Amino acid sequence: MNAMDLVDTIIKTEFQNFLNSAPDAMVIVNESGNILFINSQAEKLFGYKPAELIHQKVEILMPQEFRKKHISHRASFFKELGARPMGAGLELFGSRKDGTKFPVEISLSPIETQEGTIISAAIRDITDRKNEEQKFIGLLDSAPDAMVIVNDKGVMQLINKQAERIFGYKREELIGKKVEVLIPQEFHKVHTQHREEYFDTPRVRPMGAGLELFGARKDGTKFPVEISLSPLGTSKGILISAAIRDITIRKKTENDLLDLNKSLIEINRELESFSYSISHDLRAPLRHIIGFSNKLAKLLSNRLDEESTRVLNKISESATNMSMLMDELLKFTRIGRTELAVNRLNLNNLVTSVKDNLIKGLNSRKVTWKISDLPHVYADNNLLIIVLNNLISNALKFSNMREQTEIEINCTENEEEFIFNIKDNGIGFDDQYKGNLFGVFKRLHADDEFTGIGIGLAFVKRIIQRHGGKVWAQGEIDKGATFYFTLPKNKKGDLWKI
Amino acid sequence: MENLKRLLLVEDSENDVELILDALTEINIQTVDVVRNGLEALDFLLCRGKYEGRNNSNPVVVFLDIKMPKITGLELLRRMKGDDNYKTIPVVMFTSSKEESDIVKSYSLGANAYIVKPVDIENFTKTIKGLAQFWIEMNEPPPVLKTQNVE
Repeated sequence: MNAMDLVDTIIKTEFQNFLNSAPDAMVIVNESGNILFINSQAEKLFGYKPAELIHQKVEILMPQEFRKKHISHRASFFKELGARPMGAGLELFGSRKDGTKFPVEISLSPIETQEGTIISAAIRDITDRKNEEQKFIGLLDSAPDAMVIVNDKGVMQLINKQAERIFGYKREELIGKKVEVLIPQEFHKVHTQHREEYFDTPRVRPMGAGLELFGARKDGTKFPVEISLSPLGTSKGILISAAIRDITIRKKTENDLLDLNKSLIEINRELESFSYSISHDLRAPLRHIIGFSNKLAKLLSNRLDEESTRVLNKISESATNMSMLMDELLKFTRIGRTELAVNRLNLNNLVTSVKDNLIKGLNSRKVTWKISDLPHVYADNNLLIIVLNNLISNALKFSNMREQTEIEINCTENEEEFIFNIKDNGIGFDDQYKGNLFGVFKRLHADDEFTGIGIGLAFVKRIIQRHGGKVWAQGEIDKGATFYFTLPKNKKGDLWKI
Repeated sequence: MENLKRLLLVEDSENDVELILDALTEINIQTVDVVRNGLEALDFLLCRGKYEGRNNSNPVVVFLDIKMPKITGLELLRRMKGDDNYKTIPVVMFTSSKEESDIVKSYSLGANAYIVKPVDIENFTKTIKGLAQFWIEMNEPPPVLKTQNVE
């Protein structure tokens, strides 16, 4: 062995040692595709002894179905040399001696030698990674939303089942395509621009805040979507995962609600003009009936007999009564419309002042009051006075036949609300009619038995409901009545008003 | 002539006009011009149309209904208070409307009083008598009006 050969041998040995220490399987082939060398990792990976492979065509390491294609690829590779990964965008497979297939990633680099160009191929078994990917796709498929994962060029990398379903594409139709395929044409330009900006500062956020977003199905139809974006740091660089929700149904519900709201506003407006006409147009004729029947009475003054006078008076009285009913009805509709002015109120003071005011008209009646300590509540002062005035004056009115009237006012509470009750020892009511108590112009007693026009409790109910509370009553004929109402402890919005 | 002070009644309801005039007759106020809507009132004030060359002097007070055909009470009020020749004439809104919006609008347009027509006739009569006595007999009308008497 001369010195040159010795050097050559040493270099070869060093080179072999170097290749054997590489982490990947290495296979070196010449221009004709003959295997010149394999390292020990390649032996392990493919299950061959070096002797079984040296001088064999490299296609022996591939599954049968890829061999023919590979021969032509190999030829073209030598025409335009340069280090590159093999089969960009393709799934590559290796084949072991026992015929089993496994997924690989291959990177190629040409080496110039005295005997011509040879190719070194670094081959990595990516079975584990593929399994991980499969798991990841499984995970994506279990997500309730459509998921689309794109790279920094906007090219779709992964698609889950839900995405296939809502867009109407098969997975393989989308992988490798620009994500704009899933967006209506008119948004392409602006989306491309936004996408590029997003990659400058990727972070988790909803997409298109305040904008209406649309997806495009394969058949070209558009549908409203909600999208949330999050960046994924991966070995392939930053990917963006987009969770996409079809909100067609929600949008429709929203629109239905808007329509409904519009018609409610319209109805409310009609109601307002109705009450305006009550206050204006219907009052005048009543005044005229009374005015002209009075005028008639004057004109006929000395010719009117007793019966005619009585009839004329009936006409005026009825008209007066009707105008009073209209006034109350109008007040009632106003309570539904005006804003609540909710403040913190001391109920003790309020009850005392309402009670004292009512006592003035009682003359010599004997009344025992039992009023417990009452809490502070959030309510509209004026409206709550109407409630208390109605309930307390009812208690007084319907017990006016008692020698000794007893009125009790108490309050209990639970976590959410105060429950007030006002109890009297009056004539009570038949429990089966209690549904009528809170209706407009509903009375449980004849007109001439007790004064009033039967709207007080309707006021109470409407006011309490507007405060987010409830009203009810308990009673028994001749055994007194108890009226209950609740007020929420927390200041609530106007729950009842349209 | 002592009682040249005239009242302009702008009222579209024939019945109300009759009841008001009856009440005023009872207290001997007869210097009343009656027009039936805002447009007629404008014609009257501007001496045009059928009021061209009218002999009656300008009113010392206008009783003005709100809801009327053609030109409403609020519109007439707006035009009167926006016109230097008429803005000093006191205007009393006399209407069935208790609507807050009507009340607020009337005052902000410069109404001098807002009276809701009482529903029952007794109060109605009493009110109209009281108003007429106050504005015609007690209230001192703006000086411009005194010199504005017809030739």
